[in-house]
Amino acid sequence: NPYAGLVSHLRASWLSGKTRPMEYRMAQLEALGRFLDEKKQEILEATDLDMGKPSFEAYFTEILLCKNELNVTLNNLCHWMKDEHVDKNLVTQLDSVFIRKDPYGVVLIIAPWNYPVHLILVPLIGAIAAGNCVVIKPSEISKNTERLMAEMLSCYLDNDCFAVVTGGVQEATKLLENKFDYIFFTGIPSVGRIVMTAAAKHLTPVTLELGGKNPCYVSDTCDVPNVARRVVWGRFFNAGQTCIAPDYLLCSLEMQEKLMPALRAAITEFFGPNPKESPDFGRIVADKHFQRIRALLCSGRMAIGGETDEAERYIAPTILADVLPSDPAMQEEIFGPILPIVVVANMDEAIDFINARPRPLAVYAFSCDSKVVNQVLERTSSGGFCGNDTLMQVTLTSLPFGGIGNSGLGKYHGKFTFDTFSHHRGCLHRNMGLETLNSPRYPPYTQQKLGLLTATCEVKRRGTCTLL
Amino acid sequence: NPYAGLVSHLRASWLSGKTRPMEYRMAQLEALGRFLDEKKQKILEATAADMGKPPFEVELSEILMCKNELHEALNNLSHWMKDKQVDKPLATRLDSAFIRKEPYGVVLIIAPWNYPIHLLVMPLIGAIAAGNCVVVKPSEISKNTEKLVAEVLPSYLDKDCFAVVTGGVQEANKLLDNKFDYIFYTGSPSVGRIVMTAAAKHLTPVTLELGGKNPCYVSDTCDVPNVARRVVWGRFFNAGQTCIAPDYLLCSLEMQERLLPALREAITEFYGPNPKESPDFGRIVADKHFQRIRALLCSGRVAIGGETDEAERYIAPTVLVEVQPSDPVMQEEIFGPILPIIVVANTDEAIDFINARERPLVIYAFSSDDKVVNRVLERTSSGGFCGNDTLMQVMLTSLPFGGIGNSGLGMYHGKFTFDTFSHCRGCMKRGMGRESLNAPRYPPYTQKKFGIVRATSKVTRKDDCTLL
Repeated sequence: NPYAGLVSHLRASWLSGKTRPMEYRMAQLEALGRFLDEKKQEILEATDLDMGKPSFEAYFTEILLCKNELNVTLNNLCHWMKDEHVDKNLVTQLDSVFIRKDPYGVVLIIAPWNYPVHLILVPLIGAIAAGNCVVIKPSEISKNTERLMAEMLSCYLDNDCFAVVTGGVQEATKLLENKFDYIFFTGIPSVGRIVMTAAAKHLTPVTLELGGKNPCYVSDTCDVPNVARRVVWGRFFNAGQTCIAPDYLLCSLEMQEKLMPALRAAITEFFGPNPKESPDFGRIVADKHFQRIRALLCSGRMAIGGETDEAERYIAPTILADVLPSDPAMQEEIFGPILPIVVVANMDEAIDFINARPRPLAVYAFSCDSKVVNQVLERTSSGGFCGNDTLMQVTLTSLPFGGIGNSGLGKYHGKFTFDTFSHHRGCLHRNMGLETLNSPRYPPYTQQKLGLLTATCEVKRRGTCTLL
Repeated sequence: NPYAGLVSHLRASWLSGKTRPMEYRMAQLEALGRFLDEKKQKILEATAADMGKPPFEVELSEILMCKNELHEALNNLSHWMKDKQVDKPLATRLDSAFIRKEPYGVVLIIAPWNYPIHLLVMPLIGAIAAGNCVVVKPSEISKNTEKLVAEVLPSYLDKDCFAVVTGGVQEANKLLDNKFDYIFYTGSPSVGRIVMTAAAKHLTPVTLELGGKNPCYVSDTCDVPNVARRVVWGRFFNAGQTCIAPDYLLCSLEMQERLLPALREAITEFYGPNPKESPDFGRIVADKHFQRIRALLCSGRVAIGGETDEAERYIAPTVLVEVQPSDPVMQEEIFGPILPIIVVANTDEAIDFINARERPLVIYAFSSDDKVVNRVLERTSSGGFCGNDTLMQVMLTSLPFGGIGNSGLGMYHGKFTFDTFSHCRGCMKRGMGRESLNAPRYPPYTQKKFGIVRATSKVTRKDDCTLL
């Protein structure tokens, strides 16, 4: 067990109480902020080398969104850390009753390669804020960012309490043999199962941010050019390598016909007539992934794009029309710049299609008719939902972000990250005296005592309230 | 898979949307209330037959506490179910952003034998309130209560959506082969691992309410008779078969000498000179458990009690002194009417003793000096905490109840149960128009566009706040 020493070093630091004071946590968080400011250029370069991530996108997702999480946390940490005093019953009126937020201890964060700084830093911020020590395992697939994080984080954070472990599947498996007090994993469902099974041996609580095929329903009443732009943006951002990207479109045959020129226009507006020459369109992260995605192109009918260049790991922004549920592109999460369109008769058929499949991380629905958007929301189940746009729901620090079923369990962002990494300890502090208050509960048991106890402990049923 | 039909029947009911309306959930909850009222006598008889549970204790722990939880849910359900609107940055100011609480689907509740109604009904209330369909698996060890629940509960609840499954380990394993959308388990840590491992195969989220050895520290400055009564009450309630009972005492040698006569007196005050004849003292649930607990008596020296009667599964309220950490009674959760006392020099030694062991469900600390109570609270980690009393922290519906580390993961009671069985879906609804608001995010990327994106979506750092 090559990591036993590291884990026990961090555990000793945690038991020493070093991470408990608010000032300590704020200082570590401020240091993370300096990392984002001072190493901005290095982050842009590393993510560009890893997957040709345009610097605008890297700046937005890897820097700005992380600074937002940092600022929400720094702005509110003292409030979040406070004991939360709660309602008391009659018998505890004179007592102190509160919820204390305790750290779990030594936590593990495993991050993927597609937003390699963001998907480390956003959980890390909450883990630090909650007072934990943290082991971070970046993805070896985004190897330039992996190297950057391994070298840089140890310069900015307290090495007694925070460590980066690098490596591949073998190293991750050995790491998981150790006992952690919380495990936060972002990645694919099959590995999520492995992580949760490993966690079960130690009864370690987990958050699993996984994936799936996010459906995007477009109704017949909508502003076609706007829908096209919003869908194209969401699908081709980071060359499609986004867990919340719209994975496939559901619409009627007529809508498919109306959308096609609008999608073409949007792609040209964004990436020019030859997207391969656009500085604003990314590349696939590695050869294996490129080959997997390319194999999906033989699905339905190639309507837009379809060009590939293996040397550059370039796949053009592609739209596939008339795709069947049995086609390759519909068998797995695409995680690339391909948007299949599956034709359905109407909204009900779209909802049935969605409900017949594993629950995704996000469901998207476009309609000018808010009743249609609401129907899709109400009759489906997913991690999150966005009506009339894509991706935007995760840019709010006030909305919880997480999956359900195959797309994951747990949630984070903003205060939800702090809560994820905190144990909510129910506390009651009573008086040493006032023993007469307690006598009704003691044997010898009598009816009179029971009456007194009931009166001082019961929660009464109030008059019925109406759902406004 | 003998339960496949049952689970798919419940899943079909859930997909039909039957459990979604508030009125439906309220009706099922009201029916549960009628079960507790109309079948109270049968509940008293079954639990008396199972473990000699005194009717007073049943009224308090099995009926009153469940009615409290029920009233809490009925009083607040419409409020809990409402969409929660959240803060929005400038870029989404005109949109709708909210958290919607949704059911998971078909959930499984596995209950233990020691509070067989309470530990089944309490989670069931939250599961129903959150809109789920539920499979309930009572414990076969409390066989009279199991029979009562299996025969009577279904006549109160909608059989399309709620089912009781009976049986032992084999049946539980076969049940766990099925895919559930949430599993709520109360029981031992070793079986908790099995449940979580089974859940991992389906990526099913879990709450595990487990156990451990709950330490009870008594400082040198306290009201000895009061402490004795409160500890005796907590330890011998339900003949010690309580997951949150004080498992062992930590105190100085002088305090031990002062406590012993007070403990003796409290035991006599509660149960008379011969507790075997008291109607207010319970019995061990089964022969195997009786034998396990009896074997722990050869630890240290019996200072009070120690008598046993195998035919009745009676173990006298017992206090052991001169107990060593290596003794049998300190190797496992006692879950019986035995209280070992371990001598420590001072508070710091008590804290070190506690921290060298698995994190328990609850820690108790008695002291007239608030600073001592606070020091124990701050320097230890446990599911919950109570200063200057035992058990009472779980009587409050406003405090979360759950373990940490070996004592469990997740929490419930009151709104926390509703939240446990609800998926928090982050939702956003945008306008179909106002496309100019989105234009800055689209390629071709420019510095100017980025400036606008940053200005409309960033979270600014506020001035420093101080921890009051």
